[in-house]
Amino acid sequence: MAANRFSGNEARLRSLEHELEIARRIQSSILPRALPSIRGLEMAARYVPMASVAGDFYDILAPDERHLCLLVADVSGHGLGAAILASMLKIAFASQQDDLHDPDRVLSGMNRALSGKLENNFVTAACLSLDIDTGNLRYAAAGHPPMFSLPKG
Amino acid sequence: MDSFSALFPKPSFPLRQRLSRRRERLILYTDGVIEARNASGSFFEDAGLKRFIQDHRSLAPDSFADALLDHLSAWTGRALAKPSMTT
Repeated sequence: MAANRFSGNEARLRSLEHELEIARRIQSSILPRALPSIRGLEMAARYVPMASVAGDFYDILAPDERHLCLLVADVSGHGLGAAILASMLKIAFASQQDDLHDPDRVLSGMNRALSGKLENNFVTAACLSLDIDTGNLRYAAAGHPPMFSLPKG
Repeated sequence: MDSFSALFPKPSFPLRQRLSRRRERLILYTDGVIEARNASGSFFEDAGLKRFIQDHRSLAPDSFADALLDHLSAWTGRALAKPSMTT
């Protein structure tokens, strides 16, 4: 009996580890592999999950050499479910190509795409667009912590 | 301000707009930064991040990001996972 129970627990543990490995692969596959090169702009990004698989996500789209649209988001929960929701976010963000200059429209479009598909989960997000030539900076947030800005030292 | 949710099909997302300054630094982050806890259970909070940004404003973006992770590791008293980097 005890041996059977041990074997059952071990199998469940292996299954859980397998699920987490899939989640980690999904997570690493949806993060941008490179930051776009925009003249006059220096960028850096780091992603460190506090849990083994977190629901945080970021992506950057640059439709041309002077425009940039950046999304930072946080999906509720952890594990495989959060990783799948984050991949849905990536697709929803990529679908906003016509509105990348307008962060509130990007978030509204993403919300329309995701509404009714998140079940009991939710997402906070912040979206920033920048026109390098005019300096026009636009920012919209959906329940996300505020962005910090300050003169560079 | 709403987050994405099945409960709010038509939320509003307030837009802020201005001209960016030359030599301006912008920092976006998730709540994992401000909710990092130290051994006594205190959160890093907005104030901690703001202080860190002020104190490290001269660092280049890559160095700044790495320094912030080192600082959070020291704050929480535990080694953080190896970061995924996008450069």
